[in-house]
Amino acid sequence: MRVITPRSPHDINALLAHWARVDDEAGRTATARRQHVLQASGRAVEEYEFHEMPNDWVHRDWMRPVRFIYRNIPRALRMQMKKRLVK
Amino acid sequence: MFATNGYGASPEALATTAKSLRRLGFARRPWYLSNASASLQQVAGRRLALGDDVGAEWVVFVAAGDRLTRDALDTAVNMAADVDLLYGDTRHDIRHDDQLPTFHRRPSYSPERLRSHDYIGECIIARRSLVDAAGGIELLTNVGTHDRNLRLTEIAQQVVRSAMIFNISPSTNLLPSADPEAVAGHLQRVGITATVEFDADTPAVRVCRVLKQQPKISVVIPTRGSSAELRGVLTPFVVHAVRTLLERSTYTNIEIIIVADTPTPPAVRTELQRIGGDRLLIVDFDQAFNFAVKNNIGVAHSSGDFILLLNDDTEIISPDALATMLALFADGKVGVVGPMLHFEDGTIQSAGHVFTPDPTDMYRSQPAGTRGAHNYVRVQREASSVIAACLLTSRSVFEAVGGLSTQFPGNWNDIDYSLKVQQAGYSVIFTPHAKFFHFESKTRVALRIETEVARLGGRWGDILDDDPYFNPRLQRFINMWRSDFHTDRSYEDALGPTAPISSK
Repeated sequence: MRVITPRSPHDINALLAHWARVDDEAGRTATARRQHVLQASGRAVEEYEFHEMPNDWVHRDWMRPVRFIYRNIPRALRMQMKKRLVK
Repeated sequence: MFATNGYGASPEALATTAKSLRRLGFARRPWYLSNASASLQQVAGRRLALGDDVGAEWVVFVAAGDRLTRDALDTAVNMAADVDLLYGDTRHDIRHDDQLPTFHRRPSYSPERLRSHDYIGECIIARRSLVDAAGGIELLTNVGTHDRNLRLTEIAQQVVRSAMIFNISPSTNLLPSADPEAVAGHLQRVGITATVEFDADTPAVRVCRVLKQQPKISVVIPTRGSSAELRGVLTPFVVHAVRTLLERSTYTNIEIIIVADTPTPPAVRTELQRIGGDRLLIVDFDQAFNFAVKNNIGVAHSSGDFILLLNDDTEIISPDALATMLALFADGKVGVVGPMLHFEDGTIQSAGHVFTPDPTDMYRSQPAGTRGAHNYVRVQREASSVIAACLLTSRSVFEAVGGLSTQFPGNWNDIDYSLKVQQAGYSVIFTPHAKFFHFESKTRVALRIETEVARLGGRWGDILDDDPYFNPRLQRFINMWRSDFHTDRSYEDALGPTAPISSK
């Protein structure tokens, strides 16, 4: 078996250009889907960055004493609070 | 209505479950109790109405001794009409030293993983129509949970995971069970030609699909021809990768396309041509660095039905790796398969990706024998993405999604590719049964390019924030921006049975 590329340089360039167009289309579909998801959940569509963990207010430093107190109050009271907070 | 297998259950366990159902206000709902002795029936009957209810909309399968939560029932009530099977997370009421309970957080529906082990567990909620179609409540209550879950999911229209605690279990066994006979029966019913191997130690089932054809695989390797010390010897990486692939792989219908940067040393080119012979083609690349473009050019020059994107700093470990990966494509919905990658010292380099939300290699730097939380590393399963250092895909899928996106010249072209493939309706599978070395530096930190972050997030931000094969309740514990992340709190801790999740 000898590897012989099945395409000419012209064909290869045309294929790469075609793939780039298909990729653009896939990207547009993905972007539109993401925007739809964000809008459906009432969130703003803005430029993405990793730095902010979503909804991680629970683990902010200033929450530490609050979490400590919450964990150590009587269970019945904790469950009541949780039930109300979840609703 | 509720269904419980009473086999081996103690009266106390049944009483606990009955009490939780009464507390939720379901004292008058029928409870289908199978395999229960007369005394057990008496215990349960004192608290709830026993029997079947053919008119019930939902059947809640609950293990004896478990307590149901209101979240589980509320989720079912609010589900869309086309959802017919639900499962959620479990809280294990076993206490560690820190006095916090342990949780079993589950990923979204992952059919390949379910064939490997019963990650869904005991507590599920299924529409009565689905239960009847899958064999009826008597059969499904009496068979093992792995069998039951396979029977239900194989005909369900839509299976939904809710990231909420569905049940509270007293069980100290936190590992998913696996039933090879159930899997064999399932494979027969859904028409998958495969053999089943059982790893009792894990426990997990390996589904070995039968490779019916031997299609050609085009191995595309971008390289600069660089050398580095490998096991004490200065080695040109690409030569080593090609040589080991040709020598060790039991799958031989391959062609190799080397996409070589202009500075690639002539000696490396000559050696490649010598060892590769007629099966190897070198394509010159003289453009600015763009990993995606290099791979796309390689694929454009190839002719195989399948494409293996392979980094030059790799080495095949398991001789049947290519055959193992290729066999997974027998399922026409599989678009990408990725193997287990190891560093030179044997530790794990990647067991698939997880988005937390930064895409990250699972169990990176963990020992080779790591089983992972809930045996995560030991099972073949769906993943949101796998690393392009070694990625097998079909040519038709590659072309259908436009190959690797050239908008990601350095990072995340593999993430984007995997997500494009899933958007097109195909799945991405990670298999631990195919193994490669990836001699990447352990201390390498990928150069982060903000425009790539914005592009990736613009396309897939919502998926990055909630990886379907992970669990949103866990993400907050994995902060990728800490340099000591891997030593501070590993995935094992975050995911695993030893990890008390203190947020609940």
